[in-house]
Parts: sequence; structure tokens; C-alpha cells
Amino acid sequence: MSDDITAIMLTLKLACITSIILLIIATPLAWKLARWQHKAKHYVLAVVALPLILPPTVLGFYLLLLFSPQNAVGQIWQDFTGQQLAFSFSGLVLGSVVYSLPFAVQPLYASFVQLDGRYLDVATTLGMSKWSRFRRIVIPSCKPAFMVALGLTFAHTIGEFGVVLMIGGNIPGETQVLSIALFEHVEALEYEQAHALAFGMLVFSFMMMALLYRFNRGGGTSWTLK
Amino acid sequence: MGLQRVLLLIISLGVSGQSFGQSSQVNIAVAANFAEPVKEIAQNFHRQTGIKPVISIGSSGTLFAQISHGAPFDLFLSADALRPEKLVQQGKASDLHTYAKGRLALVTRGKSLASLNAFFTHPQFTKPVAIANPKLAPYGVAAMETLAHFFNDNEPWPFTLVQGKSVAQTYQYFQAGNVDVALVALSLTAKTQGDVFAIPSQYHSPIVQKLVLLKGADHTDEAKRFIDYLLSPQIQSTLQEWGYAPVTDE
Repeated sequence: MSDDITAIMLTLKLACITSIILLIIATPLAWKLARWQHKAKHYVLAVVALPLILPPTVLGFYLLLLFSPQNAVGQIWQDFTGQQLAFSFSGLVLGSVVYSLPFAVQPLYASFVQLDGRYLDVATTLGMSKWSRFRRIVIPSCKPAFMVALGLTFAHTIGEFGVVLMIGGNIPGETQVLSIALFEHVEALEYEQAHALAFGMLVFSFMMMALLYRFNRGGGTSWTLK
Repeated sequence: MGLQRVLLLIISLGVSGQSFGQSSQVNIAVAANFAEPVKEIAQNFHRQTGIKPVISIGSSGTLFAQISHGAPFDLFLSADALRPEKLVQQGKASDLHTYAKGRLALVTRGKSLASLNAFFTHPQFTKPVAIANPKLAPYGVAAMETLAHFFNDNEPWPFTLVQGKSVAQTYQYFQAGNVDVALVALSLTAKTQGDVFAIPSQYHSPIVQKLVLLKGADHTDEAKRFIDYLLSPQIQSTLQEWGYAPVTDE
């Protein structure tokens, strides 16, 4: 049971760190994409959306190969940190950031596209700087999208399984997250403990989604979160 | 129009799915470590008897869960003894037999092994070691028992223990270059580019792989013929090539 508590804490830590990193990455990315017009835009959007449809094992498999010290990325990381990327918490964070990227970018993108450019134009003529335009106009008017992006990323990372199964190595306190602990209970025929974790996760996911729909500006009319 | 197409698809799936229940075949659920040998054995069996084995590969734990909930298999070839015995206890299976004994191997990269002791007790031995999860895989239990010969339980071990969900995934960690040392099934290491050292069997308790005939099987007769074939001395003598010890008695 104490292993399960450790797994829960580790999962929460992973989800928090991933959400914060993704918010920092996804905001400028979504902003650029929303303003960008180019022939190649479809391809860039497709790349960002890939983790939505790829089986997580595909992503996990390539990350495993990439993280290997026989590869440039794994080698550079090991030289810098002295630590191996596969089977480490840092590796999981990196994997989760890639895996949840569309969940952060897409709500922000949709919201930025819909934002009326005239507000920003007026603000510019009034002499507002770029940063204060973003802080005082974009953030307040897109607040629901930020909440949704944060919430979806968080929830998606909590439920992450396939990627971690491939690159984690099941080390308690380091890479043994909730879904892996659950998988282990099921495989080891410990159905009672599996039930406890699975049901907890079900309730949590339900509450998270209900909360997100409340935040969503569409109120009761829209089903897709944006 | 779209709906019609979907319905047609569902119907055709249903029809093709029925062939699963027809005669002259046997549906076998097999643990991943024995998948390669069983494929070849099944081919020969098919040639000799005309009965077609249909093989589903999974980890023993997953297959056990599926069988407990009515998966339509006739035979279950587990990686351990515990799960088949449990199915017999629950009245869901019969005809419990040992069909192979697994062997453990150490795979490493870049240095050939003089002795296990020298390898593990080398002061610079701090690299991560990959084993199968001992809670899930009998090869993981054997790996832990082997390591316990060289390392004390009371002090922290000088390396990180990385666990794969199965012995196949553990081997994958080694093959992909993420670890340089792994303890896996000897049966997996045939095509490795690393150095293989077969662990002497006295280092761990035997890895006994058992099979059972499942109750409510659609092809009981075919399944029994497959069991006889698999346990025949002629097939058992080939298991050594695959990295297993044959079953001598029982």
C-alpha cells in the first residue's frame, strides 16, 4: 500500500511539472501558430496533433531508442547530467511533454484564433507594450482556454500509461507511476488493490472533466473543450 | 448510407469471427517467452495432423485475467506454475502438465565473462541492471535469487534495478542499448549481439512452465493431441536448442 502512495505522489508530481512546462511551451507556440499563414502550416499542425492519434507505444518505442546512450540525444544528456535518460524521472517528464503537447496547444490555439484582433490594435495605438497587451488583454479574455489547457494536460498525464510502460522501467519512487502500479496489481492478480486504484482514478478523471466543462465558456452548449 | 456500410462491416466481422469456433483447429494462449518455439512446433503439428493451431501471445498475467473472464482459448501455456494451478483450483481447467523448464541468462555488452562472481563484485560495477518484474514474471524471481547470491539484502545495492513488465521487454531494454546488463530468458538471446552467459541452475529455484486444458474448450480433442505432441520426447529434445531444459519426468 505504501508503494501505491508513493506512486500517487510521483504521478501528481509528474503531472504538475509537465503541466507547467507545457504551459510555458504551448502558449508562445499556439500564439505563433494562430497568427502564422503559410503553405506548410497544415504539416506543422499535423505534427503537433500526432500524439493524439499515435499509439503511445509507438511514441514510447522511439523515445526508448532516442534515450539510449548509443544515440546522440541520450549520449549528450548523459554527458551533461551524468544520469541516464531512460528509466529516470527526467525521461518521464520529457516523454509526457511530447505526449501531452496537443492537449495544451489545441485549446490555446482555438482561443487565440477567435480573439478579436481589434482589441489588440486599439491597445497598440494607445501605446501599450507587447507584454502588457498580452498580460492585460490576451490572458484575461482567453482565461478559460488556459484553464482547459492546464487541466487537460494534467489529467492526460495522470492517465499516461503506454509511454511510461516503454521508457519507465518500473522503479518505485522514480518511474513507477499510478497507471503502472495499477497494471502491476492486475498482472499480479492483486485485484483488490487494483480496484482501489482504478476506482480512485475513475472518480478523479470524472471530477476533473466535470470541472473543465464548468470552466469552459461554452457552458452547457458545447461539448468540445477549447 | 454511412450507417449501412457500418452495419455491413459489423456483420462481416461477426461472420469471420465465427471461424474461430469451428473444428479442426486449436486455440492456444501462450506466454511471450515461449512464443517463438511454439510457433515452429505448431507448424509441424499442423503438417502432421491437419489441425490448425491459432496462437495468441501475451504475458501470463494478462492471459490469465482474460481466461478467468471467459476468453475462448483451448490451451494455456503459462510462463509459470502458479497461474495454471490457480485455474485448476478454480475449476476452470484440467490436465496440468509441465511442458518446459526455463533457463536464465546474463547478457552484457563489450566484455566477456570470466565468472559471475568477478563480474558482479567488481568495484566498478555500478551500471543499471535490467530484470523482469519479479511480481509478474518467474524469470524476474530467478533473477532476484541469482543477484541475492552476490549482494547483501541489508545494504543498498551499488546499481539501479530496472524492471521490465515481462522478460521480453527486459531484453528489449538491452537490445535498444538502454542497459548494458540484463538477466533474461536464455530462449530470447539467440540473436543477440551481446555476450551471453547461461546462469547455472543452482543459482535459482527452477523456472517451471506449466500448461492447462481449459474447461469449456471448443476443441478438447485437438487440444489433447497438441499436449501429447508437445510433451513427446521427440519435441522435448528440441527444446534445448531454444534455451529450455526439457521436462524429464512428471
